[in-house]
Amino acid sequence: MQSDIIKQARIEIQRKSALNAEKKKRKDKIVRLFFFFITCICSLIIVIVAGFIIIKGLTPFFKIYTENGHTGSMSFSYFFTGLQFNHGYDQETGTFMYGVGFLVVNTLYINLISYIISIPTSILTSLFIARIAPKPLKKIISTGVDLLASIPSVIFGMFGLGVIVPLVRSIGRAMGLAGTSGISLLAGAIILALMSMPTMISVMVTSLNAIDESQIKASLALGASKTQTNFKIALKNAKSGIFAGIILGIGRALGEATAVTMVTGSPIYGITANPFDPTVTLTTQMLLAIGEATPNSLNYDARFSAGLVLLVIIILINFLLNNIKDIVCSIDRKPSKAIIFLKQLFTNFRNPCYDLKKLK
Amino acid sequence: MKKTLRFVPLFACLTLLASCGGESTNTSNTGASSSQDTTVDFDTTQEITPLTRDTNSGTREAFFGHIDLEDAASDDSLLTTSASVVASNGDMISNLATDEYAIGYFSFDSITSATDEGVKVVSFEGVTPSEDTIVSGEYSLTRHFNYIVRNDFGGDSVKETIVDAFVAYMGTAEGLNIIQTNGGVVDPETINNAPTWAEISANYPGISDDHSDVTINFGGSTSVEEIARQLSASFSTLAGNFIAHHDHTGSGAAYSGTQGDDAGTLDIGFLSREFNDSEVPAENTSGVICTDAVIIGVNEANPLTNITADQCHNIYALDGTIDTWDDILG
Repeated sequence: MQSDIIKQARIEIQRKSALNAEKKKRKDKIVRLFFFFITCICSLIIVIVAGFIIIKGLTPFFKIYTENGHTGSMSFSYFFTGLQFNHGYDQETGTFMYGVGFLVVNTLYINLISYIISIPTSILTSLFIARIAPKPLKKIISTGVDLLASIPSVIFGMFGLGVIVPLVRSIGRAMGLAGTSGISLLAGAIILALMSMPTMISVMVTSLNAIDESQIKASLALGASKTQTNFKIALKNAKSGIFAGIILGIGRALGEATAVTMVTGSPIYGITANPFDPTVTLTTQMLLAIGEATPNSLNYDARFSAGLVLLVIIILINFLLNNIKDIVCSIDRKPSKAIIFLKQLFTNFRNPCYDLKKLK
Repeated sequence: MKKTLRFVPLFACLTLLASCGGESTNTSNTGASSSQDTTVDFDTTQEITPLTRDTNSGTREAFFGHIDLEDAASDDSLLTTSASVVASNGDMISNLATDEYAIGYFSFDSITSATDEGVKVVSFEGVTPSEDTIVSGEYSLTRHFNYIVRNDFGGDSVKETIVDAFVAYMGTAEGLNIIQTNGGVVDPETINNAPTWAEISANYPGISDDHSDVTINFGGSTSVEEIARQLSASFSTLAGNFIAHHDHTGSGAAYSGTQGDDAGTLDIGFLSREFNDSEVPAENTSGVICTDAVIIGVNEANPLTNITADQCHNIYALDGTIDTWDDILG
């Protein structure tokens, strides 16, 4: 009798717990679906943005515009080879000539100069913060760097106009370039470097802080000096973090528009080679008086095409950098065959005694 | 001892940084002061940097229209390759103030802020720009500010009355005064002869009824924005407190918003240029608000005082013959 009651109670408990479990499962499912939904929205944004830019960016090549008494769409060849953004109408081919190719070159050039400034500075600064600076100083400097990262680009632009431009101008004048006004490629590159450095530094410092302390100690114990240890052990171990910092910084610099626009001027023609001359980049051209442009006019739509080009460049550079990162820090991920081959080539370069037969 | 020693380089660095900062502000100061006292520093062998507005600007259209470069208004390929684009009137002025070897043009209403910043106003064809010379027509580098209203209000007679009355208000003494104080150039004679609002308000029956639920959309040129805002603000109190909504994006929107492709988005549009061939307003829906002048400016270190249309043409045109300041100042 009693055992029956116990049995029933047990069954009851089992039933309840099964029910409970089911309830929990259902709840889990709902939560999971909810999270999935949120993730979908987030990842859809990139698809929507890319799709929008691709569609808007390709439109000018196919749509027929009527402007200033001419009819036609945008010239495909001039778009990539042109040396002027708005080059008017070509009677022969019946197309409007808007050029973006020279903007790409200018953009890459100004960024290259800014990396020459920012990458070594960032690496050395982060090494100082992570390994050399005494603790109180370390705190002050890292707070400063974090604050620097949160300064909006317009402020950097104002700073550039007030300080960097006159500085570049006096440097230029001192070098005998009497015509330089300071509004120049170099000023833009300096501003870009200042803007991308905080991002680079904070990522690099994090990775340098994460190094296994025992390796440092081992190095010191083997008789290496502190400097040797910092460069050969610390930096080498933090390679992947340093690359991540560089990639993030480059992303920030490539996409920057406001601050650059304020200090580089915007010449209407051609590629700028002299760092003391004004230059015009993709982002600057897109932003330039967009408020004045009539929506759906070619002048307006061509900016979307420039945006598409910028997007492609950023994706390409990111892809390239990630691959370089894989070559340099192959421990992090299993590299593809091409990368192994490149790496072998790379080591081959460094080691003249390398025997080619070994490669086979 | 060692610990304190460690801070020595730090202090050295800090002082270095501080001195750098001091130095850079110094240079900017000396830059400004040296440009003030000197025609000596001005190197006439330097190339001219012609500054221009972008292809959507009404100021650009007016300027190139007067120097025989009409087609360059919307086409950069006709301009000299050494030209640089600036985004706005304000940008133009700050660039002229920074670059000794630049030349550029801006709207008459910015003339005071320009001279304050260190831009020198240059005479055009021997005439110094001023309200008098502009009104008398001696200073020829001028353009009109125009307006255009909807030709079809879709039967909304209240809106139509307010818009009609607003157009009339722009021609009254009160309206013209507002236009003048906000940078438009109006002949003083016209203001004296203009009727007051009290005299003509009877032509618009019911205009002073409560209109606080009516929204009138203003838009078009950014150059005319200040004038338009002041006009609508003062007229709203006379016309039953209608709501004035301003959205100024550029002269191009004036026609398209009132009678063109986007007809109906604007009730009144303003242009800082003349209507072009593709913008033909319906009868009695458009007119001139006032005159504005385009001012040619250079850096105050520049000894240039006068320039001719022909010289401007040769500075800006792709096949122009003037490259360095020597070619003008010679």
